[in-house]
Amino acid sequence: MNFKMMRTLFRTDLLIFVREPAAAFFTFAFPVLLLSILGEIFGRFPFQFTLPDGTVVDTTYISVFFPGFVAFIIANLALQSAPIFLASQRTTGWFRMLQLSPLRLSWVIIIRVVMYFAIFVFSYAVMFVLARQIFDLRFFGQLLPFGLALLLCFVSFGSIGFLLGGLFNSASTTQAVASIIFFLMYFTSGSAIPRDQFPDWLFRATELNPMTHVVDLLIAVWTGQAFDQLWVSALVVALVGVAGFVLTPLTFRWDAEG
Amino acid sequence: MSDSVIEVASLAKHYGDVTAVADVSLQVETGTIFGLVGPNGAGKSTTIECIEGLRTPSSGTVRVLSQPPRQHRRGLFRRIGVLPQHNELLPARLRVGEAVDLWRSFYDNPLSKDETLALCGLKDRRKTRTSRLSGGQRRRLMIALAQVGRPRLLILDEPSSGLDPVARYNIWRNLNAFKEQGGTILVSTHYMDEAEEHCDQLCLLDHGRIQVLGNPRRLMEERRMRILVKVPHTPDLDRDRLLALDHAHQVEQVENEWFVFGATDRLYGELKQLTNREFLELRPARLEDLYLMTTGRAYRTGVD
Repeated sequence: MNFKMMRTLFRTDLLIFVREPAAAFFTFAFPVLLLSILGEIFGRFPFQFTLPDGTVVDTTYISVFFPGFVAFIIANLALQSAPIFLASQRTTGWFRMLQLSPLRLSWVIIIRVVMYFAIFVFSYAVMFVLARQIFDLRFFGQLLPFGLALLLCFVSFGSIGFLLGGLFNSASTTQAVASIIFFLMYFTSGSAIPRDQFPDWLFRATELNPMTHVVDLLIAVWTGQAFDQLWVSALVVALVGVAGFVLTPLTFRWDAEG
Repeated sequence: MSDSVIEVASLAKHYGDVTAVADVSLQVETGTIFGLVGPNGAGKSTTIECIEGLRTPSSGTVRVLSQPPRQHRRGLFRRIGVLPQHNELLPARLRVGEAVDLWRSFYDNPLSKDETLALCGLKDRRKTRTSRLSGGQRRRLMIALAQVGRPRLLILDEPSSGLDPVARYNIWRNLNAFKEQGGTILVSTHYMDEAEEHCDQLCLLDHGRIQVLGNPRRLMEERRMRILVKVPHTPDLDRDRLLALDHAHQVEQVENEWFVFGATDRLYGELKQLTNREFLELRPARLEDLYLMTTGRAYRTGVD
């Protein structure tokens, strides 16, 4: 293993990513903007829920639905940034250029995943600190289950992002398809609008949305719910990830010309 | 032990019904510049990409530094430097110095950053984004990146394509310096003049097939093509009459002119006498004339 190569590739990937204005805005600024606006409107509403031991907790809306914002970060990175970045680098020939070097190509993927994870951790930390400072955010779960759930959601949706990134030759087609999938998932998942506000048929229909289960899973572990309350969502998220891992190698291409 | 660094035998590449390359066999000897020459669409890039291992040949074999390139990609790319055909492969927002840093990190004993920047003449542009470089500067940078790992062999796909004469001169000066230090270069180009000037061996490709293969000067000498006299077409002149001249060795009709090739200037006098003209156009024969003689078509760089 060449740590200098990995470090330099990571730094290069990150620099290219953050210098892309749209990617930088939607990854770093937009979630903060979203949290600030929605938090100001709904964040301080009183909310009551029950812990597994029967304790009734009186808190604020944002202290329960904060994981919805986290789901937004994951989905935005995985379903928008990653596929568009991959497709544009393939079509502009950057991957072809890397193929002409002694670099082990699997490292390109590994470093890319590490970079997205670092961006996710940074975005999450910024959102957490902001929500804690402004809206007095509270956490009711346990760190390990919450960390594992975050990792599961990140890996699962990340695999779908890499799958999307390999499906189309054109970067603009990838952008259009990724945007449609992202916004459709986002607005019907409970991340933007709580699903308990949905009509019954939409509530049931949106159970087919994988992002619904990311939101439900993260809220469940954030609010300290027992395993029997979250296993369905955890299973769906895991199955989505397995599908991504199985299908991505079949669709991924380094070269737009094939 | 063979001195060949590249050996290609009966290479063919088909895309469905389209044959991009057919029955190409060549050897590139150590310490030489070998040119793959031909118009756009002749099969140069496909041949190069098969040699680099980027494409799988439909048939035939390729060995680079005695190894099949597709099976030994990483090992080979530690010892060879490659320039792809297109100039826009570097991310637009990457700076010159960052691209050099990244490429240096791929090798155990790379050129220093300063050496690399000096090689491409971009020492004062290290903070410039690659998208803001001129075409020539970007090409020089990419050639320097190909040389970062101190390769024995450079494979360059159209290194001077689309560049102005000064940029072309600078690139060839760098490549000749690489050769003088013992390096070997396989280069594709559609510029006949630079192939003729710089290549020790060349392979003239047309429609994916080899037309001629050898040393450019020797190829011309073998065909006794030293000078070209252009004779306007007239009803009383035909190929047989022209070839009957003592010093005419090759004749080809191009539009309204006969192109008559010979080994000595005496041909000019003979043709003046035959045509009763005081002046005829005379110039040294060039490689593109060899293309004309082998394909029967005037050389055009575009797809024909």
